[in-house]
Amino acid sequence: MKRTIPLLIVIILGFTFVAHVFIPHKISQDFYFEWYLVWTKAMSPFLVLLGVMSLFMIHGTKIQRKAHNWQYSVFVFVGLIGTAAAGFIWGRQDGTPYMWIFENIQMPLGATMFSLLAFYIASAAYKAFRARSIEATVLLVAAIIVMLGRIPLGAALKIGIPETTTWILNVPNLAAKRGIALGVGLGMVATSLKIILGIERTYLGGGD
Amino acid sequence: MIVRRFLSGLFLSTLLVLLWIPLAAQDMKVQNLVVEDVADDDGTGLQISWEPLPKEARIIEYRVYRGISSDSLFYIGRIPVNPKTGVASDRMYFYDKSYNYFLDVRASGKLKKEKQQAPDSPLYQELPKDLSITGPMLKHYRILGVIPKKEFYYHTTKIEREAPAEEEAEGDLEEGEGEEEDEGPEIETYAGLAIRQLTMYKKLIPDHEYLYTVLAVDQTGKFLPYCEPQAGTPRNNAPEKTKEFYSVYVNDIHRLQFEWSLPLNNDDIRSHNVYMMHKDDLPVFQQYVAQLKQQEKNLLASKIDTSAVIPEIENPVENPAQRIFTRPTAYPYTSVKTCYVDMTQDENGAWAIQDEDNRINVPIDPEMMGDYLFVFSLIEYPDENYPGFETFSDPIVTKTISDADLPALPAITVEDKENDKGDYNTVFWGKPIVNLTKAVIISEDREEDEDGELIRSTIKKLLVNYETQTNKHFKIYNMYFDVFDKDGNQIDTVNEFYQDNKIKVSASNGYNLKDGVTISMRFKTNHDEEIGDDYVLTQELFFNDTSRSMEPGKLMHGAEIVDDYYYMITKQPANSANFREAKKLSGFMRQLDDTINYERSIFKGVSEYDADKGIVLVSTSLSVNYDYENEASISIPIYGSVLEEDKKDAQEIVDEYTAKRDSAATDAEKDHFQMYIDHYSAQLDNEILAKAAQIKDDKKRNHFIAKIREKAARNFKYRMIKSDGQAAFRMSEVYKDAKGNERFFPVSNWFDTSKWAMLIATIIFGGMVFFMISRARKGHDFYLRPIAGIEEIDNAIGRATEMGRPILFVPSMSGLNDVATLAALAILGKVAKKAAEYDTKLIVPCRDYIVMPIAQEIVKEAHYEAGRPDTYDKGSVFFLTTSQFAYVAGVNGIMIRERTATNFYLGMFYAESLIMTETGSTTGAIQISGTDAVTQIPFFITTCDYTLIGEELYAAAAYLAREPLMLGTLKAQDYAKFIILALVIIGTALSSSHLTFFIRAFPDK
Repeated sequence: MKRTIPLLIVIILGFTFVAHVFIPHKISQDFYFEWYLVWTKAMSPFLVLLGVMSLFMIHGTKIQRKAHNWQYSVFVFVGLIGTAAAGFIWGRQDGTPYMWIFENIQMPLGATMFSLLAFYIASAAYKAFRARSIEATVLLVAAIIVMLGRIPLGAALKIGIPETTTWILNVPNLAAKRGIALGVGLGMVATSLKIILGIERTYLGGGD
Repeated sequence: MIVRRFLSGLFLSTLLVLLWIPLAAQDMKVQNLVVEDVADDDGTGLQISWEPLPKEARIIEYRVYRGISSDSLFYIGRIPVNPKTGVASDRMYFYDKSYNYFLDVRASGKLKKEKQQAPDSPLYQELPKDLSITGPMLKHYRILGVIPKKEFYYHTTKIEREAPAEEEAEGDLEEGEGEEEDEGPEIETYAGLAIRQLTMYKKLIPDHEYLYTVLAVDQTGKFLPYCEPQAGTPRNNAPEKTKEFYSVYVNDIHRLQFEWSLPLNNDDIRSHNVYMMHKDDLPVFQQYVAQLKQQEKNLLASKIDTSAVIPEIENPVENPAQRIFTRPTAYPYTSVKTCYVDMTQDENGAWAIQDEDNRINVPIDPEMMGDYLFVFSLIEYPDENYPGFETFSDPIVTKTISDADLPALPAITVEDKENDKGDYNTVFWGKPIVNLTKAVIISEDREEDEDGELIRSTIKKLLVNYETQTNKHFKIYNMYFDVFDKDGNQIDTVNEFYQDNKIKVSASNGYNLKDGVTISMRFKTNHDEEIGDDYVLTQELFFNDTSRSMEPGKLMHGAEIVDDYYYMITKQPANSANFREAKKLSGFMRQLDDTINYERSIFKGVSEYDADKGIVLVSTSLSVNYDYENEASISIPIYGSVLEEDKKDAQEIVDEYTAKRDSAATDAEKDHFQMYIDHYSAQLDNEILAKAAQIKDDKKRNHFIAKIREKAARNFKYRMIKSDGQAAFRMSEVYKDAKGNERFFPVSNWFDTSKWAMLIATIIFGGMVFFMISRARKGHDFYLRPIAGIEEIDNAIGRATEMGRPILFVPSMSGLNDVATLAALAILGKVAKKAAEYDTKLIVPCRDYIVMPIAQEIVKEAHYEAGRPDTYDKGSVFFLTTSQFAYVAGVNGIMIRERTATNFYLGMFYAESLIMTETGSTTGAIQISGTDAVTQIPFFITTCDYTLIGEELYAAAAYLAREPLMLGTLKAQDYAKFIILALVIIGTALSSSHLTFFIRAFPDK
């Protein structure tokens, strides 16, 4: 029963949603927009609660057991409770403590993490462009052309670099991307089919 | 040491928070609050303005309160302010006008004092749902109840009570309700609705006094003192003068055409009118207009000061202009802003403009059109306090043209739109259009002097962008662009077999394109016989010295400049006598998908309530259709008993007037009584009313009413106008299809025919899956291409076991609605089982709180399957955060602290992928990734040991399971790819040879 009922729900709703894609009728549209989406919205707050409870359990246990690096867990609680309290007490408008925390802590920290990407791209590019094989050499040459084509120097050289860049991006690059997208599309359909038909049941917990 | 660090960290954090808290703003009041009437409106608007507090006060919002007495003012709205920048202007404005929110289910159940107010403060939060408090307020406003359709038809409470002495509240958008003449108290039936069943919107009532106050809230959440309440009274004003009014006289068909614009406030306009006068009458007309203005001023003055003695207008004059056209507005929809009147000639040869219905009969001399002046007027609805002001435009002289000067009007076709849920009609017309939008120089020879100054340049090649507009009738197959130099010599030709919205134009004979080119454009379509060889569009490209670029000129079709005209589609529903504007479109457009929404709400005026029952009362009748024969709207009450009562009343009136008619002495009296008899007999004989009366069950009857009402409201006649915007327009007849239908009702479709290819592909693919599965079950051994990333999963887990370090599994950055996440979770099951068998710790940080419990369950089940339920640690699968980069920081921290030996990144990833995998790379972990995000694959390939590219992610679970069911789907995928690839190759080969029939056989999307 524990698996049969969820499986039945998935199979019935799976086929219903497949039918919804092909049926533009008002009944089908109302089912999706006025029933499904409304219920999804209604359910999400409860699911947020699950996440918050998980955080409390993990970090509460760590503090309780004085586990390794338990002090970080205290900061998790300070951040979580402090931010939530600020939002509940003073609201979320500009100038409130909640927004102050968001603008002066959350945003800079997020931007800091994001800015690391620039350095990591450089290091990843170094790894990728080492011309150790024919394929890597082709990659290196293509990368140099594309990079030159994106800066004024490429155009100033007057040897058709911007045009070559456009060609590389629009022809071989796009062809490869579309090839991958095609496989991804089929993979998605196959996976969805496996789920709808009950062949793939891992998401219900465990193997079969 | 750690504790000391922790304490110092905590101290610094506290200091930071304390530093933020600013000094509380001084107890500053908002100054100079002024409440003024909104000019030129329908008398329902007030403008509230005040001086904002200085920036230093760190105000985050201004809250506005309104009441009808100074002892209770209720919150009605706020204006948020950035506390850092403050307000730049000297005054702030809040408009309390038109219908805006009054009350609904979200309101508080009880009356609540505003926060931080003294006990004697008159400020309250929003009006509560408690009708003992809000109910008495209803009469001070014009209330419009917006009631969900089903609530009104099926969930109202029938309430009978003595009818109020005064008239029913206005604001009801329904028409034709109640025409009783009888006086004296009578029992009236209402439909009762609880507050949760409707949303109420309000308008102010002209000449009623309202009080307002404003207070500021600073960033600490402190409510600063409110300012002294100020009173204001909205006044009904005459409509604003029409700024644009054009007229043409089409001399060969003796037709006067007019076009106008409307002012911003036109809610209370009853009709649009056109007047004509002789030039000599202009002084008298101007005197008349001044007289109207004075009357309006006097009326307003008498309302402001009732004791004031208003002088009579001396020597009043009559309007010398004669009305030649009048038409009611289409409010609440957009009215049509064009009209024409035809002149008729009698047997004596005298010309006149005649309209019997509107009692218009104005003589006119077509030979002397220059002697006439025309004015446009807007007339308001009159009420008991206002006469219905009229505002005239400036007089204009008509421009004489001939019929040939009017634009050619293409034929229109109206159809129900295919593949929709029944909320569109498609209107299409004309032939396809192509319009050059931009030209970029891609090859230019430049001669420069020694100083680098440009001496001469020759443009050799251009990249020209174009846009096409067509309709459902014409499908463009090919387009031909012929390029001509300034002397008319053809210098290039481009055939667009595949329309990618750009062409390259080059000069074959060394011509400098800078000197200008003309491009003529032709089409090959599915209806070449209708297009014709002579259908050619031309457009010039000329060099702009300032921007040093080639620019497109106006699009020409023969002598007609396509840009100079617009199309207006007008429509008339079956429940109205008026046409209204459906859409105004540019001259390039060829199709309109006219939105015809399903009715979701019923609009009813609300003025009565029952506080004990907690309900508001609305009229029970609904306008369902329009009786064109009797020129009356047909209304039906939603209760059977009321319908019976109405029928009985109508019969009584008919009997009464029949008796009166029979005993009348004169023909005039007889005609008068007959008019009443006809009117009420029409009600009794009406087919819809009769059918409704036959249905005894209220629910079934209301279902019938809803169906009839919807059919009438969504059933349209269509017409098209093509105009230059200055009255030179041509208007089509009402469109009739081949069967003679002139009304079009959108139908809800059960199958989207544009998706047949998708359906067939899905069925073929599904069939292939079943076939392959059955083959696999019969023991057929499928060859599967080895995928290194999948084969290495076991080794990677083994490595972690050998090293005694944990495994990290990142299960996608997206939620369960993404198939990639489901694929990642399928792999998690296999990895978790193997990890459980080897007794290796598996850490699964989740970004999505829906994914988390599923991942927990998967890992738990895997431990059970491996026979190691005791090793399952619920804390190893946990929620981290939904914030993208905070999640990355968390995952990176885990990698570094836990020193994970193996990292899996499977599912959907975004910009964070490289940050995670580079960190993993530096910790020396073996990394296996898999994603369908094309943009992230390169990052994974460069930084991970093994990467599952695109579909390999979806294949991984099947690959690991090695079960017939799973393998069958994999094999089916391979064959499907083969079929698609074969189709792509065939399509490419044929299209490259200009054979486009194959790709056209597939739908566009």
